[in-house]
Amino acid sequence: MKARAFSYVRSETLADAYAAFAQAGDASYISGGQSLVPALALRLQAPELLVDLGAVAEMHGVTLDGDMLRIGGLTRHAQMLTEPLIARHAPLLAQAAPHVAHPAIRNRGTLGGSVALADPASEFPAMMLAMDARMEIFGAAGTRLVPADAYFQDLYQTALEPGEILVALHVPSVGPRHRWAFDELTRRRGDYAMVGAGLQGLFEEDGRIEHIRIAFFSVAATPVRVKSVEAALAGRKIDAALIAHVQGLIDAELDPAEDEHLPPAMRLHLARVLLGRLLQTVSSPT
Amino acid sequence: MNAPVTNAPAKPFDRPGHVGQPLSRPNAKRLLAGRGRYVTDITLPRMLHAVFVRSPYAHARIADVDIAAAQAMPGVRLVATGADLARLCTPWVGTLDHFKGMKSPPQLPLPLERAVWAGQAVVAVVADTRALAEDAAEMVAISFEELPPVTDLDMAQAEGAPRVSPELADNMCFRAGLDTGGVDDIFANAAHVVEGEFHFGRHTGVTLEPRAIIADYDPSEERLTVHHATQTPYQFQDLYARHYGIAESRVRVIAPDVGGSFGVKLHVYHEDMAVVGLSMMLGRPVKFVADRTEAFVSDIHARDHRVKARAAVAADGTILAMDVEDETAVGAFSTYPRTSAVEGNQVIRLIGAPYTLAGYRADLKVLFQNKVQTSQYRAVGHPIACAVTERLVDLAGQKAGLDPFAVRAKNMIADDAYPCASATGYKFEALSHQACLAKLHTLMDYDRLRSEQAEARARGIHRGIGIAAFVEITNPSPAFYGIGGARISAQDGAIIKITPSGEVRCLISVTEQGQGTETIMGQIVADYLGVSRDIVDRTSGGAQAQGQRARRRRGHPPGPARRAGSRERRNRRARHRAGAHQPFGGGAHRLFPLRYAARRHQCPALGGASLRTAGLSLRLHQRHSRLPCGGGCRDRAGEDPQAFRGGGLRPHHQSAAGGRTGARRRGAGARRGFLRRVPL
Repeated sequence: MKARAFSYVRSETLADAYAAFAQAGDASYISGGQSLVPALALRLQAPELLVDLGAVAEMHGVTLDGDMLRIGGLTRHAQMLTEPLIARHAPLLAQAAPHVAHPAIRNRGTLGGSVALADPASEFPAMMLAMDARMEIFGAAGTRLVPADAYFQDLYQTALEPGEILVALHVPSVGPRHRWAFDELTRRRGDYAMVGAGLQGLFEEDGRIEHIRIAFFSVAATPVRVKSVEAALAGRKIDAALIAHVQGLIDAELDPAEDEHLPPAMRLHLARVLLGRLLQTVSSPT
Repeated sequence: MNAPVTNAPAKPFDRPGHVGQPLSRPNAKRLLAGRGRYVTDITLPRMLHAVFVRSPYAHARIADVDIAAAQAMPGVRLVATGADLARLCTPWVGTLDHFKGMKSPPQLPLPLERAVWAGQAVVAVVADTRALAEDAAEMVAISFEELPPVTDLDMAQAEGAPRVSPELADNMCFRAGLDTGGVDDIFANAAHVVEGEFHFGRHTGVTLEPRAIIADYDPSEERLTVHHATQTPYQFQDLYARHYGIAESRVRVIAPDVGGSFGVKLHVYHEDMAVVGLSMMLGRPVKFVADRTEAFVSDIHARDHRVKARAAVAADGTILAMDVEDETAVGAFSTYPRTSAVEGNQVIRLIGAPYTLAGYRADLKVLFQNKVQTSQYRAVGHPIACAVTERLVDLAGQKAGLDPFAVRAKNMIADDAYPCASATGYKFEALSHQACLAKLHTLMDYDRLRSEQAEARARGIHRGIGIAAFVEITNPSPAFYGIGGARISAQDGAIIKITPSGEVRCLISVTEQGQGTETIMGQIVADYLGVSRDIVDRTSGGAQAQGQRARRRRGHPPGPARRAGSRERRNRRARHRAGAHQPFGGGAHRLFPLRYAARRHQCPALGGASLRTAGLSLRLHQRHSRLPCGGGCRDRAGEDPQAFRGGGLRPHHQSAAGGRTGARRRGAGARRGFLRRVPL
């Protein structure tokens, strides 16, 4: 398949990119292109203009500002595995990264691109929820920060308005009392997960959970937190009985749709298994 | 049990050297360096690109086709419909004469009235580039009127079901049966009856290189050259010549490097036939490369089967008989020229093959439905036959209280029973199932695995251990299809030249698709001539060995040289003298190249398979017999019991043991052979 003909512009500033997008009748931004380019080749999308964000300086680089890590939207998936600041301050991303597709895709795909597309089966958008990240969004009124909880709205729908750009992700840095875990169940390594989840929590010295955020993906139209489970865990120490109890809450929290590959009951079963494993993992210090 | 059999290859030559040695592939470096030359890499002068507008419906009447807007698009050279190509190309029918009662509707490159599966090519657009052709294809307007589709086995057989082809009486493509007699009595008197119903989902071969073709018709000489990613260049030479009415001597099919085949690249595809016609209409080279989405809706599929099977078992675990119904749903046509019935035919003939059975009965139904055509894909029918057989054997073992190894050992054909025949009629020369099973038992350390399994079960881990025995048909010879009238293969050949500087040049008719054909040929030639293989230069793919009328079948190397029986040679000569055009007088083992007699009749000067070259003339015989391989394998699965209870989604460990004939090794070392010098 060949893409339909389109125009192309590479902008150096957010304002230029935004203006180019607004001027065109039908435009798309492109960063790593790992989802967009196949869609173009299959003619599922056929924009008149592609605005390449690759040269926008504010979207590059990883910096620490106080206890907040700012990850430029153009940071590649592969950098989640190599960037020391990410390993130190946002280790859940480093843990999830090996599960994201395959090396060739990780070399090109970007964190901002993944979160902007918000595929409900993708790992990184769900981790934004688990880490309580904030999205730095550039639009007509300048830059704003949107918390992850308000960002994911529906299937491929986010707080991004048409033409707005996801500039960077702000992630609270983990401290010595944080624990985190990631896992997913796939038929083959690199496939989209049948069910996946990540969690990050603040633990008391005695092992009791102060608060915890647990985000699932591949179970709904958006990545989702399981808030009743989080609430049931707060103030408690993880043991077998507690794990069994919160596994029992999953059925009421998640309502996966019928699909041809996996019946909802199977997906719920896998979600319970995964939740148990992740909690087991963080029951002792990371 | 007989003495253990080794897998050491026989030494066919007086100068040991390369055959039987694990050697590196001389062509691997070239391919790894990206210097392979695939059809996709080829750009011819004035070459155009074809794309196809496909049916979105499984079954629909083509009410109207409007190509005017597409014709007006930039770079478009031709928009062709089914009617345009039907003026050049004669229809084909995918049946074989020896499959009695088989039926299939005639096919054309592009349909005239009805689309019969979702993804069928309906209109062709040819333009300067693939992208321009795709732009124009979007402008083709086809009015479809949906018709009721047939989409599964039950629908195909239902009372009053829609017919996939209105010109046929029903949706039954082929029906066949086998019956040794007495089966009902055996079942009535058996201590146990075990049974199961088995559903197999469609598979397809997914090659790294998709299907690709360039047809280059030169009207000034009425000459057609086709660069084709195919396993069978000589088969296509014949087909293009016959269906487009071109003299065969003016049709050349070149198979350059081919990036995987698995049986997918030896069938007639509608797009490929269309591309030849498009090139003839334009007088220019036309290229078509299927992309992956097109491959999924047009490459042959396989293994859409539902099998109901039962076995009669004596109290001591002896399996007495099997009774099998195989229903398989193919496409809307039977595939040409190998048909869509061979797979089911092999399923019912291979079930029970490794075991001694007193009775066997099978009923095969091959049914049309509105899906992609099916045909032979890797290990045709074998996995289905093996899965059904081995499940019945396991169930028989459970009923009789026998371990999976014990029930197999009890029922396998004994190693000293050969030659013998299976209950389904396959003749076996010399297999070694018992030795193979014993070796497998040792190799996998069965008793230790069982104790590990018990220990893991106690921890909640459910580990499966599966044992399977099978008989593999590896080279059923040209007669396999030839007896049914399909001109697929006759005799493979090679031209071997010794150059004045003492180097050897070997042109082989068979194609290389990654399985090591060139390496194997180099080994044989070097050993026979007593030279280092470094000075043997090999060229495969039929491009240059064409002149000798070589023929080949499937992806197998020609099987270097085994002495054809003298009686067979006498018969061959007798038939030639009689000018016989129907050379198959005897049974299925009367193996004689179908076209041989006709060829010699037309061109006596060429004289069959004798090759004359500058320095040396050699005659190469293909081994003309079935060569089944015995084997066994086992599989442990289900390492993640919490998530995949009893699932087997994560195969963990595999091992396999080959039988006497070297199962899975289709190389030179596994066979005996010779090359015979022919006086100049």
